[in-house]
Amino acid sequence: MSTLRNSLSRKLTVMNMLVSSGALLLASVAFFAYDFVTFRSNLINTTSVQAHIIGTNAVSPLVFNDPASAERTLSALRASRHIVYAGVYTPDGQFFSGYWRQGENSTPVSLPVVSPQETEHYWFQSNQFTLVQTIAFQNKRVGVVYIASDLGVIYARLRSYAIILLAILSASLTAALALSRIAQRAVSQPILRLADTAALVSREKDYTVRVPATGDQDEVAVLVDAFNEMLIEIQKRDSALQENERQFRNLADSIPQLAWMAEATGELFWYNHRWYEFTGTTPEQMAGWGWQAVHDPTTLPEVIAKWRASLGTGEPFEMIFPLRAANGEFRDFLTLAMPVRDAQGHVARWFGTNTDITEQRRSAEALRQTEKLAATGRLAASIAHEINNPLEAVTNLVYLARKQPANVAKYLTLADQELDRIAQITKNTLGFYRDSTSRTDINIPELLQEVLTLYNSKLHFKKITVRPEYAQSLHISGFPGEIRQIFANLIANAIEALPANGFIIIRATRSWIPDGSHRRAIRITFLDNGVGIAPEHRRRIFEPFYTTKKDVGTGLGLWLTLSLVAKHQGVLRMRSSTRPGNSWTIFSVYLPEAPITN
Amino acid sequence: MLAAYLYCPRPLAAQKSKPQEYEVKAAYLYNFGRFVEWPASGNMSDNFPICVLGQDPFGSYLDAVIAGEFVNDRKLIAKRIATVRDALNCRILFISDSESVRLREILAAVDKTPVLTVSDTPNFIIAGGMIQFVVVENRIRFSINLAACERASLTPSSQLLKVAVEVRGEASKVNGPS
Repeated sequence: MSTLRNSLSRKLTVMNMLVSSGALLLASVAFFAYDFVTFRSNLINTTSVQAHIIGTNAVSPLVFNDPASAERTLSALRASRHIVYAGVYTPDGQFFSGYWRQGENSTPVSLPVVSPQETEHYWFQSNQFTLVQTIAFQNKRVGVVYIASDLGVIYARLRSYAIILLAILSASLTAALALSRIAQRAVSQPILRLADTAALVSREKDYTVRVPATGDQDEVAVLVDAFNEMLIEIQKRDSALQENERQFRNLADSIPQLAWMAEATGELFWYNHRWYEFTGTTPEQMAGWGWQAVHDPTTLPEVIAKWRASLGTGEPFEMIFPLRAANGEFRDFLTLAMPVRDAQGHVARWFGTNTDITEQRRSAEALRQTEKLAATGRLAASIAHEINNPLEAVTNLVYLARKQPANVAKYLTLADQELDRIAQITKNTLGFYRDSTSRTDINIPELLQEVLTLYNSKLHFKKITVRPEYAQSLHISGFPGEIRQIFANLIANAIEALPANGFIIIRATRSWIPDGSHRRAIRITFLDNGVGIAPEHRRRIFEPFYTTKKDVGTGLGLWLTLSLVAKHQGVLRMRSSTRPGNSWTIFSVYLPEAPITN
Repeated sequence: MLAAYLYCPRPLAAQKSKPQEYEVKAAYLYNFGRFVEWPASGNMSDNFPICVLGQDPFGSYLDAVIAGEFVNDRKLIAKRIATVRDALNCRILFISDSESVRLREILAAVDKTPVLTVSDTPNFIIAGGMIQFVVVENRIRFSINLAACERASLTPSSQLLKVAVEVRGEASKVNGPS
């Protein structure tokens, strides 16, 4: 930090020099001005006195017409080197006698116009000072003295003063420079040592260094002590911080997830070991935005968009996307990133984890398949039951037709009707397990009625009344098989929950998805006056393998229903009461009229 | 006061016509009165008489020079006198050339009285007169007999002695300041 050293030393030196040269200059100027002013007034006084002496001595020469005598008097002016010319004149202005400095042109100078009232008159003109004085004797004007003085003397004197001052000034400044160099060391040296140490600390990040004590008891010593104490404190905190950091990294390396940290700007600067193990990359490859290399190019744009959105808003980041393993295989990861905020609430960095959910996803898919098969099995039983009745009727009708040939046509017509029923049931059943791959328009009331036909005999057997209340023209766009499954599950649950003589109210109306998204929806509610769901079960009934029907259920029905509703971007709600004599359960399904397309 | 006094610048050669000899001498007589100190004795009249003994060479010049002038607050007056007896009250006595034959008597008559004797008679100061007009290089000048002055208790100023052509009977006193 030589610039700082130079700067401080130079400032102190410059300051000293400014002060001393300023004081010297001021004194010099004052001295100079005083001398100039006094010199002028001295010149006037001296010349006036000289004129008076000459005048007094010129009285008798004037009166008795003896220019030679006056000349002798005037010649005394030789001692005043600056007098160029002096002359004595008669009262009527005629030249009487004169004195010329050696080397001057010996011609008399004409007297200028002067008022007779003035006994003395003087003026400065360019390089000359001139004084004219009346010679009086016993109250009578007997002549005039004229003295011209060369101001060159003043200027020569001022010049020599200036030279002397300049010499003094430069000598003083040189001395001041040398002295201030020495003096400023006492002030600047400790500060410079402090500055050097501060620079070393900030450059090397070495907090073990200390500023040497100055040995004085001044403010700088206080500063040095404070700085050293600060260094000790920083050292302590630094080691505590390093310990924390070490613990954190150990922890981060021991969790099964991939973990990382990012700057507030979104650049990742740290990954745990597992990240490098999984991706088979090096820290150099991953620096900054290098993480994009392990993403699936098809999902990457969305990942970047969502990541930037989180960076912009500071909202936690949550997304599932594939990451490429070292062997090239993509696996699905649930990625969560939380902003870490500083004391002011600004996002300082982000901490993120990637959890491999590939296996979970696979097992969940397997479960859904299992439940679908189980549901199919249950349906099969139900269908067998439904078909059994008309089949028995057909068998009876065929028997009757054989016995009573006269009524064959009538029995065959009746058998035909029963067979139509069977065909209808079969057709409805087929709709269930046909996995539709594309969305189609679904008429909700129609679909509800189709599903209900499958449960006719069960409802009849338990003497359950179904009351449908449908609004006009309720359509959605979706997968019919899955919607059918939703309704079937909820109706089957209601039937199972109901005792004999219970009722089910199925209501379908226009509504909105109750998530604040302002999407149009069809709401279908299934209300039964069964025993209700106990509060301790309500929270868990949507979990897989959770069942209260110990021997008959797989515990996957409502879990599957929920996932199917979610697949249609809908919402499933449940409310229930177990109050004796007034117990009930309502399942509400909200299905959007049209899916959100991104 | 616009009529400022003008010290007319004029070349020396073009001076106004040279003054007449007795015009200059008349002015000198008057000026001697200003450069000489008279003893403060009682027998002095209130005015300052300049007397001309013998034939008057000044004509009207003397009267013109002293008209309205004062020396030590005493009015100058011109007197023409015939005998030396009338000279005792004079301050300055000009002894005309016409009296050169009676010079010794005249000087003896005013001896030790404070009367400044002036003449243009040659050898006047040798004869015991005080101031004698002489002409040097066409200029009217004068010589002084200091001893004669002192005998009459008259004190010429050093200024006067300075411009004199010759000072006779010089004493140490005259070297002092005026």
